[in-house]
Amino acid sequence: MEALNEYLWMGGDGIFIWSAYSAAAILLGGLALVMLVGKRSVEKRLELLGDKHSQTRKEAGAHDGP
Amino acid sequence: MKIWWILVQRDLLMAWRRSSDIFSVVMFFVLAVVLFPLGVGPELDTLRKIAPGIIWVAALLAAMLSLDQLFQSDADDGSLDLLLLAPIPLETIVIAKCCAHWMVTGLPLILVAPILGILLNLPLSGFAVMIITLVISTPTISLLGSVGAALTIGARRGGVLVALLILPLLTPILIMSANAVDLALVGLNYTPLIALLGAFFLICLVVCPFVAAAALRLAAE
Amino acid sequence: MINLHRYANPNQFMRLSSPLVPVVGFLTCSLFPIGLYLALFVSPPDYEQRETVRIMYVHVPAAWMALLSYTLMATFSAVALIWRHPLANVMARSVAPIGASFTLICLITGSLWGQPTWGTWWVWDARLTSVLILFFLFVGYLVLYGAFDDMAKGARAAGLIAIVGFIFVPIIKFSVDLLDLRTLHQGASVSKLSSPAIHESMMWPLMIMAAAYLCYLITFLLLGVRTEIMAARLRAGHRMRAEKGVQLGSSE
Repeated sequence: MEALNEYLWMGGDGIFIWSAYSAAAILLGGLALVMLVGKRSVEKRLELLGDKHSQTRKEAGAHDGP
Repeated sequence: MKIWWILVQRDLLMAWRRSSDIFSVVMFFVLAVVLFPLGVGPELDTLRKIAPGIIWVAALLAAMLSLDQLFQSDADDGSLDLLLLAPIPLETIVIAKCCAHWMVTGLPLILVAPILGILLNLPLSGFAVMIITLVISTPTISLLGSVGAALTIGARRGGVLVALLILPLLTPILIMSANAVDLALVGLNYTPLIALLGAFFLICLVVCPFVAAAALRLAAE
Repeated sequence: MINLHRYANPNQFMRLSSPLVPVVGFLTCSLFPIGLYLALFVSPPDYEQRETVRIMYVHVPAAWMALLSYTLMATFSAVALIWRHPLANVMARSVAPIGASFTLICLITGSLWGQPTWGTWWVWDARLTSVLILFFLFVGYLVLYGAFDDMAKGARAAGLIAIVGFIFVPIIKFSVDLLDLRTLHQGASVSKLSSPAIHESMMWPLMIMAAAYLCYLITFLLLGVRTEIMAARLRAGHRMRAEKGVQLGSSE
């Protein structure tokens, strides 16, 4: 525990070092999260569209062919 | 060349018919400068130190206000489509537009600047350099501004957008001009900076008309 | 000579990039822990700057990648403008938010490094100021891209401003260097970090962190482009469905 505290303290500069690392982590992680969520939602809506699309195609098959 | 001059005259005439616009840009310039002593405090020493910077920042912001109308009104009333069909290169038309814009905004700012210098306690030794930097660099603002104005035709929030796009590119002018006045105030040689401002103007004169013309063609598509 | 247009086809891009994304993604996920371990545990504290030198490992690669991102953005925009490459604008657009994040990281960590070493959060020195302006250039690009109702128009306008910005970056950098001159002749100079040749024990963590940042950039660039292509398909699908709906309505 003592050693851990000593390490985190880093001779008094710990606060700056850890805030710098966490700022970088938050920004990179946040951007990654936003992009992954965006990708997931587009994928989901694309699948939904595909299902509906094939449905309407089946229903409309008699009218306008393939 | 004749067509070029007709275009300049046309823009000047249009500006004259809406002369309240020019007036409000100049008044904004004055007002922005006047606000600084109220905010920073009236100590003459402080004001003298920051005077060149304040005048230049205010001039940049005032110029931004006038830029969004540079091409937007032409695009709205359809004259832009006619300009695109004109028998002279679009780049020349852009230069004509910039020239007219400079006459109706840059020139009044230069004329008002000495009065503001007095208000800010700018020493007399700085006046000449101040005016020289304004004379060289306000045309650069018009040139770069034409790029911003052409790119934002038809965009939402066009006016603010021009400032956001163009102000970062104008930082060299601000730094070098204010620096030149500073050097003059302490009696050092400022001519290299004036030469650099001139060089920057020439670069913009070469680059900006082409980009603005490309942006105009794009906007007309 | 590579045929650029072979990669211009969105379907081709989707096919080529789909095995690539997990690979670079995996590289990113494995390089970051290694880099962080080396940076935080293995590398020695600096003689002058003590432990604060560890901020360098997140700060310097961010600056490198910010510059790389801007270069990529301008290059893609130029490719889009000259060859009308349909994917290039999408790629430029996908680099922009990543580049903006890198500049922001660079600014924040730089500020946190400045406080213990210079005694102030912010110095208007040449390097900090030019990174700040770079950040504004990224933001301007992104705002212009989204400011039009017609997306294609926004893409091309933003592409132009990216190219103009790229032409002006050296001039801005040069003029911002004059700021140092000014602080010097006003006698209020801040002692700048001397930059001695970097020691090997610090070089390795730095390089690995830079590689991790680079892999992150590539991963999310590819991911962003893939999302954008899928979003375009989604829009096209909606349009088709709407048209078909009208057809059905009229035929009944």
